[in-house]
Amino acid sequence: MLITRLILFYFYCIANIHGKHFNGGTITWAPIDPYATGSSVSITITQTYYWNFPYIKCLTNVPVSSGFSSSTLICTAECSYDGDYSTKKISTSTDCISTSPALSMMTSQRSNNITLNKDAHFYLAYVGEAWVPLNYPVRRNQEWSIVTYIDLRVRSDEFINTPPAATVVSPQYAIVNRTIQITIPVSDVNAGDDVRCRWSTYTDGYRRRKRSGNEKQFPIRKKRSCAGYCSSNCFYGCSCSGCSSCSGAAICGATSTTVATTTAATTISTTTIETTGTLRSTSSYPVRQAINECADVCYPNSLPSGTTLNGCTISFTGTRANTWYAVAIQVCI
Amino acid sequence: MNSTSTTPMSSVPVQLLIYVMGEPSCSKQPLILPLDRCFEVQVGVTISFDIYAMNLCNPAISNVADIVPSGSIDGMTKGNLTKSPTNSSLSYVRFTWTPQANQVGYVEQCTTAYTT
Repeated sequence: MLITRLILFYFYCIANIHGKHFNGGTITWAPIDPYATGSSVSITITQTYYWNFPYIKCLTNVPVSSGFSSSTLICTAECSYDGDYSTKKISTSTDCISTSPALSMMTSQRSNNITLNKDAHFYLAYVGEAWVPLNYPVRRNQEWSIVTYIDLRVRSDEFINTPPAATVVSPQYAIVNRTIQITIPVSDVNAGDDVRCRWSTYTDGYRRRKRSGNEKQFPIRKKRSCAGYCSSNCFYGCSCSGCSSCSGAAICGATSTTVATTTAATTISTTTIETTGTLRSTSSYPVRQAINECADVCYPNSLPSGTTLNGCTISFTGTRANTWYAVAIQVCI
Repeated sequence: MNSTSTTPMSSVPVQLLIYVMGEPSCSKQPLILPLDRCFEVQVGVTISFDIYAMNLCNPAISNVADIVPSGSIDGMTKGNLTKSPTNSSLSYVRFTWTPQANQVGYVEQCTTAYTT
């Protein structure tokens, strides 16, 4: 499928976004041998990020090579099942693979191989700041958190899953007051797998008092499922009452597939506080850590009212010219 | 795995920006040609293909700025935007890819042509 899209590029927007650099991205992984049966499993983790070019330079070790500090992908939840990831953390540095100066865009990517204990399952995140200034009224220094769920347990059809691949150019362009449909191209190498999309969410963790010695005794939590996590529509007959694990019941409600204007306006006015340079900490003694898939760009606050996700297609209408919006979506099976 | 599965196996994040811009000075979309179908490639065999975009606007007002793949297929490289030597309204980008064994399967590539 080929998409043709017209844009008019304003040069002053380059100046506008100078200083803030993150334009989105994706993190995916794949077992090197889906039929591996040993005590450990080797996987490839591929990070792809979009940056503001040439503010972030087209070099290896992006964004460190442009003067930003280095970091690693961090486990954010189910970390006692991380298969020993904590002893071999992967850097978030990536390498420039393409630029588009006309669009002020740079893409960087790196694949790392890592060997984890079998049956590992955990959430892995790249957290940082800042997005380009977003929304109207403008919000600056917005934090990003981009989270992938790795599960190396053998599927019922007796191999290790390879997650779907989803790629989309960032940024996308919309003309003011015109509704556009942005379809996330998804594919899956496991024939027959049913790929679904949903909004990224923030799922609260919970705490208990610290008791020494057994901090690793996490109870087995209910696993998240795409079926439980409906997007704007409940998929495949998943009834809304069955979507118990949706973090916000409103996400599943048939009448709540669009954001009421008043709600959005209220929320925006209360969330324009700029974040400081320090990223929010996770709870100190969590039984289960919070899963923050979207940081400051969670739906619906991050998007104009009326934005919807149907399957893997975003319907979007911007009413303010020269405004940036960030979209955070999870693609899963 | 299928429409009735509730077992999660993975979740992959996709985060992107949308920029809302004013009315463009020329709203004729460029045409992309000619690849719009599935074609077969072999593991280990390098392929190159060009994707063309045709500008339908007055070139004094608007031109093709770039042809950009959505995301990236592992190992695929993209050349620079090049003007066709024979037709000034045509521009193209050459993609080169050597598929690897772990990429066997259906791989989708979408491409967007942008104008200035």
